[in-house]
Amino acid sequence: MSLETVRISPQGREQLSRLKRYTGIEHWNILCRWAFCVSIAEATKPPSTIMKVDGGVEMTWRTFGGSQSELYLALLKHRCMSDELGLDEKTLTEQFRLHLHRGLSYLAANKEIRSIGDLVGRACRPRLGEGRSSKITDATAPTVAVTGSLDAVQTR
Amino acid sequence: MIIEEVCVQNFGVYRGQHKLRLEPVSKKRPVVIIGALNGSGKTTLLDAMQLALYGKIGTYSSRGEGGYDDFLRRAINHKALGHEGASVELAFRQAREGVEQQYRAKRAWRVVDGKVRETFEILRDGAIDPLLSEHWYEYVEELLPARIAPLFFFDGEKVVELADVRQAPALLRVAIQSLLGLDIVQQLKVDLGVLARRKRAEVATDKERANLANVQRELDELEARYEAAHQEYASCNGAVEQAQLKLEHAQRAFRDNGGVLFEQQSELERERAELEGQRSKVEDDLRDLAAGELPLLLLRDQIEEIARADSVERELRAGLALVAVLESRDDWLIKLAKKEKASGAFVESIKRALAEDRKKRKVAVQANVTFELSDEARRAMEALRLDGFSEREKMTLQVLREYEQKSVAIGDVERKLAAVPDEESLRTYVEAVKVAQGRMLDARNRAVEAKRQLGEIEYQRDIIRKELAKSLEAEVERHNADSDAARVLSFSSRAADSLTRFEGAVIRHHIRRLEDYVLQSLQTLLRKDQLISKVAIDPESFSLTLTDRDGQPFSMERLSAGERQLLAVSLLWGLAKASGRPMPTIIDTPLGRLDSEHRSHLVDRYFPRASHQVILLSTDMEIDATYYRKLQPAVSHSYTLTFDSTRGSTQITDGLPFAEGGFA
Repeated sequence: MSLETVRISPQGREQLSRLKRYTGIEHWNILCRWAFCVSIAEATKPPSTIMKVDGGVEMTWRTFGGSQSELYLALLKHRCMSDELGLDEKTLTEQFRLHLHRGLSYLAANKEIRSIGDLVGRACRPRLGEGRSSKITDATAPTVAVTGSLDAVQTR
Repeated sequence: MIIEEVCVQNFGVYRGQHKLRLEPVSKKRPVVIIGALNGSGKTTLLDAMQLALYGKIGTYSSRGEGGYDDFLRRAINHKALGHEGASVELAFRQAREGVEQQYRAKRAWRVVDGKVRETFEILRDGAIDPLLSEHWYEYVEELLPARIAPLFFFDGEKVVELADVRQAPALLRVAIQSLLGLDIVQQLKVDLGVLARRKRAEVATDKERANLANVQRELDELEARYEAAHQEYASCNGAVEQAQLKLEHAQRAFRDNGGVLFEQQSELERERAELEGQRSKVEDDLRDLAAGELPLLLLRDQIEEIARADSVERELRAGLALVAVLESRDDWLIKLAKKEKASGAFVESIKRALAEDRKKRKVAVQANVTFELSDEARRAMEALRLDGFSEREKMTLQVLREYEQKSVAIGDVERKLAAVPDEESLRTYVEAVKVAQGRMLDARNRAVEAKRQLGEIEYQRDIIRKELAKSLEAEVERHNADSDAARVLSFSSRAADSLTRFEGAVIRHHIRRLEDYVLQSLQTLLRKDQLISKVAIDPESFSLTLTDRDGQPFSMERLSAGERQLLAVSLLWGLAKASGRPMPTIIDTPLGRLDSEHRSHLVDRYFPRASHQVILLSTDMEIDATYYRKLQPAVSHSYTLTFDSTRGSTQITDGLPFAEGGFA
């Protein structure tokens, strides 16, 4: 069973736009992968929400997953299984949609991701348990968020 | 002293060698007459005799202008050959320390390479006496000093001069002084005068003293200027220090207010741009990573589980494949059983059992297949897992670190840039620094100038100092010289006084004797012995005063010209006697200017008695036959000089035209 189309709501699209701005990643499919993975990694179940899809954006599963398309599907199925949900097409579609949009919300949330470094950092240090704290262990460096404003200096 | 003979060779008009014997034949006959026309060489003979004795220091009638060498050169007879020279010889006898000795003075000279070379030698008693030759001038000075010679060897002109009342005193003075050796005293006085004049000139003039004062003044001025310049320089240095401080102050203010940052702004901006560029590259790398399998790093555990499930599935699928195989085998088996005539019931039971078994297997499989990964997917997943998540993670962390480093660096730069003050606010500080720099430069320039001036003044001062030191030294020397000169001046004037007094005393002492001798001679010559009773010679003016027998002054004007000449002769005669030296008397042109009456006086009373040897060089106008007869008793012998123009030389013949030759 496969999912053919990935549908993204207008809100999602908004978020994708923002993320593109912040990270500089051109292609939305890559951002979608990240959103999906972020959500899947999150243990809690995404709440059901009713989502409009008109005025949003679409892409094929193949576009979304790229060379690892089957794996992404497998990950979705795996998550559905863990959540004791069915593996029928409807469920899968819905669950996928929920995870994707949740992921986008996470990423695009206030000050969550402001640069490509933030994004990449998520992949590398989720186990560290800290979100944006000292990214380098060099004691002499000032602990500063690289936002290009002096405000950050003062918060630390 | 008695002259024996005189020889001349190539001298004057005497070409070749000529000899005259001059020794009187006896005491009673002292006169030797040499008669000649003028120009025949009689004066030359007189010169020859003096030349032999005196050489350089003598006075000669034909000396004229020019030096002694020229005189000698001209004296060589014109007809003499180039290599020949001339010579004069005088042989005489003189008593020395009680012993009479014979001397022969030979003076010869030649022209060699345009120069006159003179030789002189003296023979004593026939042998050359080299010591005497060397010290001849000293000897002759003792014998008959050159200055006295004119008293014994004179000519008629001299008599005339002495007869001149106006000239007489001066001549008399010279004669007396010479006689008394006072000419040396006279020379001393003259020399003292010269010395005094010189010393006076050496005494520092006021001008020089003023000069010293000027130099001192100049130095004082320069010292003052130097002080001032030094002060100025010191104060300039102080000003420089001040300006330096102010400048530092301004610079510090500038720095403190971000001036340095301002200057660095463009640099900072450039740095930031560079860092941003670098970070941008790193970002691209991160993006590349993000576009890869990085997000899957979040789902490592899940992927592991899927992999496990997948291997189970594969087993199950294998199991499914087995069922398919079993199914065909079961069919075969049933067919076989049927073929083997197995009971229908057995076949059915086997069929059922096999079908059930197959069913069980199938269900098991169907129930558990979820993922159904294709081989391709499996391979991709394996690649992900086997590559090692940690590897990927490590690499990513590295890039991330780099990213963060750049970000931090950019942050630093941006913080600095944020601290850059705006131009406006800095302007005052920049201005302040510029002004301070300007003032600093001015102060420095002034200090340099002050130093230069100081150096100049110092240099000048040192020069003046040296000058002053030298001047002072010279002043001291001059002072010493002055006191020296003053002393010399004082002493020289005193010495001159002494000399004058000495001179006066000597003259006064001797003049009396002279006066007596002259009176004697005069009375003898004048024959008017009663006429003059006294002759007085003023020791200072040397003027003659005659006193008649009444004791009244007898004016010289009252004497006739002839009488005056006789007076002159008396003077000479008196002087000769006063000299205390027995010398021959040689007279050239003895009677020239006298009238006949007075000539007679001389011939009768003077010539025979003048001396032990009297040589008369006379023209034919003087001692003629008449006078000769008068003189004849006193005449030893005579010669005649005749100039032979064909031979270009004078010839000497014995006797006179009116007398027999040889010795009478």
